[in-house]
Amino acid sequence: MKRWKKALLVLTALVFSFMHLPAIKVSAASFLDCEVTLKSPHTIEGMPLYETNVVFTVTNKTDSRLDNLLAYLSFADIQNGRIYDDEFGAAGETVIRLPGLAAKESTTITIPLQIAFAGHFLISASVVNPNSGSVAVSDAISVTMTRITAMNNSLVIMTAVIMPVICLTIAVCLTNRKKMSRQHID
Amino acid sequence: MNVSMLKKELSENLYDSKGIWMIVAVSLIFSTLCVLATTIKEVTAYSQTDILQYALKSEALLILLVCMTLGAACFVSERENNTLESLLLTPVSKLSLTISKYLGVLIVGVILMLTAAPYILAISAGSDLSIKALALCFGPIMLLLMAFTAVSVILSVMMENSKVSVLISALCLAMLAIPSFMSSIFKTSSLGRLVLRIDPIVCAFELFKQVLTATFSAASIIQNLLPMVLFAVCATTAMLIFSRQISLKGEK
Repeated sequence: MKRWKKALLVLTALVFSFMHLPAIKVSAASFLDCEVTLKSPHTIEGMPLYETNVVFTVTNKTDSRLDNLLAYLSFADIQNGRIYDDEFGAAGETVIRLPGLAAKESTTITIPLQIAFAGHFLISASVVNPNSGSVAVSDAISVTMTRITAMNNSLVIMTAVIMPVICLTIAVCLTNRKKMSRQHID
Repeated sequence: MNVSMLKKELSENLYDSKGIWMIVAVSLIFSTLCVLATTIKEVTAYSQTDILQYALKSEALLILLVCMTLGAACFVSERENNTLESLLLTPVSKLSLTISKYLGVLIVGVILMLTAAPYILAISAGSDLSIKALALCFGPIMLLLMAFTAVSVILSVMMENSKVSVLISALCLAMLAIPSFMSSIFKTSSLGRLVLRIDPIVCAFELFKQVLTATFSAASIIQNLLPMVLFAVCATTAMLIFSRQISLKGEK
C-alpha cells in the first residue's frame, strides 16, 4: 500500500512539474482561455454578390480578466484548395479588438461579410489571446455560392479555340493564293 | 464608284496593309478575352448581360482601331510610295477614289464584325440576348465605324507622313473613348456631363447597356443614336469635301 502511495506521490509531482514547463503551460491555457460560439448564420446558399453579417459570441472561460483579445474571420476555399483573407469585403478582412473581457463574461461580435465569388467556402470565426497565444475557433459556416452567369463556358471555349484556327487557315490560304497569282503575273 | 478600284483597295487593305493578319490578331484577342471570361473567378459575379457589354465594347474598340489604322494610311502611303500620281492620272475622279478607299476599309470592318459575331453568339447562347447583341454589333458599331473611318481618311488626305496620320487617328479614338471609361469623374461637372451626352462612343456604350438590360425607351434610343448618326454624317460629308484636296507629294 505504501508503494502505491509513493507511486501516486511521484506521479503527482511529475504532473505538477510538467505543468510548469512552458510548452505544456501554453497548450493547457489555449483550451481554457475563451470559447467562440457561432450564432448565425450556420449555412449560406446564394449567388454573388451576397452580403450578410456573421454573429458570434466570445466567452471568457477563465476566472481572470482577459485583455486585448483579437477576433477575425478565416476563409477556406474548398474548390480551389486555397485560403483567402482579403476577398470577402473590406469588413470581412478586418481584425476586431476586444479591449477586455471580465471573468466568465460573454460578448457578441458582428462582422459584415460580402461574398463576391462563386464556389464552396468554409468560414470560421477565431479569437486569439495575444498574451497567452491561445486561439479559440468557432464551428465553420458552410457557404455555397452558385454562379450568377448563365454563360455556356464549354461553348465559349470551343468558339475561342475554333475561330482563330479558321481565321488563320483562311489568311494563310488567301496569302498563298495571292503570292501564286503575283508569281504567275511576273 | 469604280468597282475595279474598290477591289484593288480591298486587296491592298487585306494583303499589302496586312489587314488579313490584323483580322487574325483580333480573333486571337477575342479568344483570349473569352478564355479569361470563363476562367477568372471574379467573372462568376457578372451576369451574361455584363459579359456581353464588355464583349461588345472591346469588339467596337478593336474594330475601330484596326479600321482607323488602315484608313489613316490609305492616301498617305500611296503618296509615300509615289503611286498616287498614277492613280490621279486614271479617269477615276478624286471623289470616286476617296469613296473606293473608304469602302475598302469599311469592308474590312464588316469582315471583322463577322469574325466577332460567333463570339457574341457563343457568349449570349441560351438567353434571349443573341438577336439584341447582333443588332448592336451591326448597328451602332457600324455607325461608329463609318464615322471614324471617314475621320482617318480625312487625316490621310491631309497628312504627309503615314506614321503621323495613324498616330493622330489613334489619338482621336482615344480622346473620344476615354470619357466612357472615366464617366464617374466626368459626371461631376456640367462640362463633363455635356461631353458624356455628345460623345458618340459613350452614347454607343450606353445604348449597349440599355438594350441588353432592357431599360431602354424610344427617347433614350434616339438620344443615344443621334450623336452617332450626326458624327457619321458630318465625318462622311467632311471626307467627301476633303477629297478635293488630294494632292501629290510636296504639292501642298
